[in-house]
Amino acid sequence: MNRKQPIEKILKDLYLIDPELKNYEKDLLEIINKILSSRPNTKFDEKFARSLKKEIMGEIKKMERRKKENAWQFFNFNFMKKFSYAPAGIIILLLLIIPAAYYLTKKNINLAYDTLKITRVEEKAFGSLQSESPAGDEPALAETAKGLGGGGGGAPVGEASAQDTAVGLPAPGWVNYNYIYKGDDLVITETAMEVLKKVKDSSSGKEFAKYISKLNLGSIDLGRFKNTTINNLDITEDREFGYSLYLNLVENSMSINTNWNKWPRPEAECRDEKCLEQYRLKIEDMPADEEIITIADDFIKEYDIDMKNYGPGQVWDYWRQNYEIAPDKSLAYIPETVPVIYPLIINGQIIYDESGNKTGLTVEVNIRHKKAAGIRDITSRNYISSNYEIENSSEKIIAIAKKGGLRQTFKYPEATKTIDIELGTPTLGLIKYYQYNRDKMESSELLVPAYIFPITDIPEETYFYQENIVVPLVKEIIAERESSNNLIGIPETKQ
Amino acid sequence: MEINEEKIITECQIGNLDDFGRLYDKYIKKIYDFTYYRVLHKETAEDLTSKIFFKALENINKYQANKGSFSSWLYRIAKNTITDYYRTKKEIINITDVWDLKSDEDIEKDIENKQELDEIKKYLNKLSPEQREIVIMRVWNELSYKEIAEIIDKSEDSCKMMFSRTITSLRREMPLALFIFLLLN
Repeated sequence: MNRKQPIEKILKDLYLIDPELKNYEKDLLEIINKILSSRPNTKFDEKFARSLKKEIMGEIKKMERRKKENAWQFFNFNFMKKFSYAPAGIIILLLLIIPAAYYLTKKNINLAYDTLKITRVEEKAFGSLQSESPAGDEPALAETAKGLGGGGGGAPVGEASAQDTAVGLPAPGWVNYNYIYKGDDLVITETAMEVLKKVKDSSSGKEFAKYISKLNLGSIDLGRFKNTTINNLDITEDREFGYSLYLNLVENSMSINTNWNKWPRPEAECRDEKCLEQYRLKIEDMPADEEIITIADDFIKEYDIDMKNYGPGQVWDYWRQNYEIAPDKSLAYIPETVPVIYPLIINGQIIYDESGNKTGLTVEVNIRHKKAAGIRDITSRNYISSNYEIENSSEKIIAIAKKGGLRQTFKYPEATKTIDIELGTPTLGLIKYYQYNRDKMESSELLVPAYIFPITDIPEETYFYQENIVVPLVKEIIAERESSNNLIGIPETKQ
Repeated sequence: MEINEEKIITECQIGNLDDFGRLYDKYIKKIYDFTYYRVLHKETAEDLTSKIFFKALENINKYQANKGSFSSWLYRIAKNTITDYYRTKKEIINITDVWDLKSDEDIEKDIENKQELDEIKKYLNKLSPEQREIVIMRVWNELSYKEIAEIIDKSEDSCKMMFSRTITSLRREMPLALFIFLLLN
């Protein structure tokens, strides 16, 4: 063993503490040498190391098996006991669910969708990551304004509509967004990175159907139906403020939703504006973010939802920007429900949607009743992972970010206004990306490495709700978006 | 190949334990050696090392990166496991390693190292348990001051200072016999 290096390091450290010691270097060398030379031979046995590793890995397998056996917690009354039913409902439920649960347990069917599993496979194992459809079929800019996570940050001109005016928003006009990169230089050393693909598993639906086929439904003999699958299950609570539980056995996901029949909705009885007005929520009805998060956290605790793959909840106050810039705040829209997002974290990285919003479990909090209205995206976390070539030209990555990243707003040749938006140094994350196969008419969910550029500065009074600009790093995806004019192919106009 | 330790630990903490084996490969010899230097008996060191890794596996969820490195966390488990071993064995709470024992005390030791160990023991026994711990960790285990500080719950500076003072005092007290021994070797 080369002893010189540790001795030199030890001496160097000693001199830093007490430079005087250098005068006794010979003595010190001898002492340290003596201590080192008397270091016992530990007789480390490789055979022992291998045998212990085998034992530990065996224990890990056992732990995983135990986890699977407990995995159908959905049917395991930790979850179900939270639902209350009318007596007749309970009897039907018990007749159906208990034997089914027993059957599914015996079959070791995993319905605990949040158990994270990642299986590594060879490089480029998913084939081409480009959507197998003509470029024009790609969900493009038009789709981006839909839903919670969608949308380019800015308000496209076509949507400066009567609806916006009705809530007092100024018409945005022909606005272009100019992204300015103010971050540090990027150094990308990797040439390939891991892409994850969600595994769909319909076996639980098939196994469940085998059980159901044995039920006697009187005139209908279910046994005559062949190769059956249960696609979904909907269970509803019959109580005030009850919920419904929806289980999708095809997509391997579940959600808890408001059972509207059981939630008081006095505004639904209104027949005129005056009546509606008295029930319209006001800004003072909106609780502080902390209170909203507490409501969501309590709901998660009550239903024993496994949160180990998720970060802490964050209120997504998408409505507030509109409210802040509304000229007449008394007319501004205050939402009935506000989402609390618990971001999914895989491989230590936060998952974002294509618009740069964190994505994961979402608890909707009902503002009127100060209660959780439901939870969505409890979904299978079973992935396979494969390495794909990435773009490592920092200039190209920054150039894409400066055009708005994956979700771009159109650049108007005759813009009436240009707004500067500053971007900071990006962090590495994963984005949820859908690959569509036209032949099979199905889409696959991918988690793709991406740079997440934080928006560090936007002018006041600007309606721009994106917090980040995302740039996927996988070369194939960049190429596909370029070719479909959906990433950097949109011609720039001179400002 | 260098492993992405942080990533593996995060994965293990969320239940994906497949890569725990890579952490094991990285630390098995270090932890075994750390244990051996404190028990001086192969079978006991192996038995304790096994306990240490099983404890680490069971408790990996409790490891918090903001409170210190993973290696220090693992060494702390090792240190506590060894202390527990001596407590059970000797029912004496002050004993933390083999160096606290008197020569005639009935604890199994490997005979092959006996002569060398008796020699070094003369000098290590002149040190306080804390000084001895730092010398062994720094010189035999080749741990950084940062790791030592995290294991014994002291500041990095105080560990450096303690090591420096220990070496200085050993220099002053080094007897003529040792000088002759060193000169002849």
